[in-house]
Amino acid sequence: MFPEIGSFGPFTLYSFGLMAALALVVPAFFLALDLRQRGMNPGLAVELAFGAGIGGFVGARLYYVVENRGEPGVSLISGSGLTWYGGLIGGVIGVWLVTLWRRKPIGVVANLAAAPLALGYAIGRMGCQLSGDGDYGSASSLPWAMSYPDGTVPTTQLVHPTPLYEAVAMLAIFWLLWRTRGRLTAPWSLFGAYLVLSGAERFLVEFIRQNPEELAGLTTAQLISVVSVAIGAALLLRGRNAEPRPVAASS
Amino acid sequence: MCLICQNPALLAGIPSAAMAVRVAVLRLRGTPAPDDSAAWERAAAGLPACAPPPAAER
Repeated sequence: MFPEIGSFGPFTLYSFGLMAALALVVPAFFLALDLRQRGMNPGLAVELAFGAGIGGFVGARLYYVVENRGEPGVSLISGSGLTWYGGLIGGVIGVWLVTLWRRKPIGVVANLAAAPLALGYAIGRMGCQLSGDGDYGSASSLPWAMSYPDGTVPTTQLVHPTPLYEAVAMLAIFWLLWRTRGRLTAPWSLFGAYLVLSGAERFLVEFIRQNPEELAGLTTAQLISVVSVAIGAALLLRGRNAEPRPVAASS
Repeated sequence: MCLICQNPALLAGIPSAAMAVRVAVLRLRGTPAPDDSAAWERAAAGLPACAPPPAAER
């Protein structure tokens, strides 16, 4: 674990912060590459990353503060504390506002964002692993089980390194979505595939995480994952049944 | 400890803000954004980027 990368005078650079920044910049690079390959202006990638970044982090922070209200030391400007689903909601709102501003079709932008979203999540989880921020799994005796004695939420018990599992799974999902982006071309369909795959990944990993059960033996994240998979499957079916619309030939 | 180093939200906001400023400066200098409306139209119609479009119905 390397919660801190180093100190530079009064400044301390945290690994989670660095990975969070990379989780924004690296996917933006792939988004720009995709836009360029499609003959679209790659500058939109910067605006979308900006919307997703600001909206995502504000949403993640707000969700965390609301979720942990009343606990000592929790405020909007206190140290770390981010919640993924708050980030997803805030990021969606940020991207939606940029899309409205630039008057782009939201279903196409959603497809463009699918693979970069998976990549950003994978990089973010590497940040969780480096900082040992408490989202590790249950006790384990597997050979790769590890403890997080120097993490920001330390444990000396051997546990499942679930951030690593998630990072590997989401890298595989990124690769799959990136490879299929030329085939799932109906608006929303590639984003539907992202919702199905990422929802399934989170649903499964929750079984070995330490989150409390909320309903029917499932955690909050699993309940949201079920909704994610259902919406994603509906979008995929809708895209599969949709015939490509004719486009007027340009002169 | 500085708030920016403490809070990943702000740290991540810096590169994205820098990129946005760069794009804004390029546009203010008058570098025209290329017309990509045809590519967006094709994507909105569910067509792959490079395949020939089907003939428009009359």
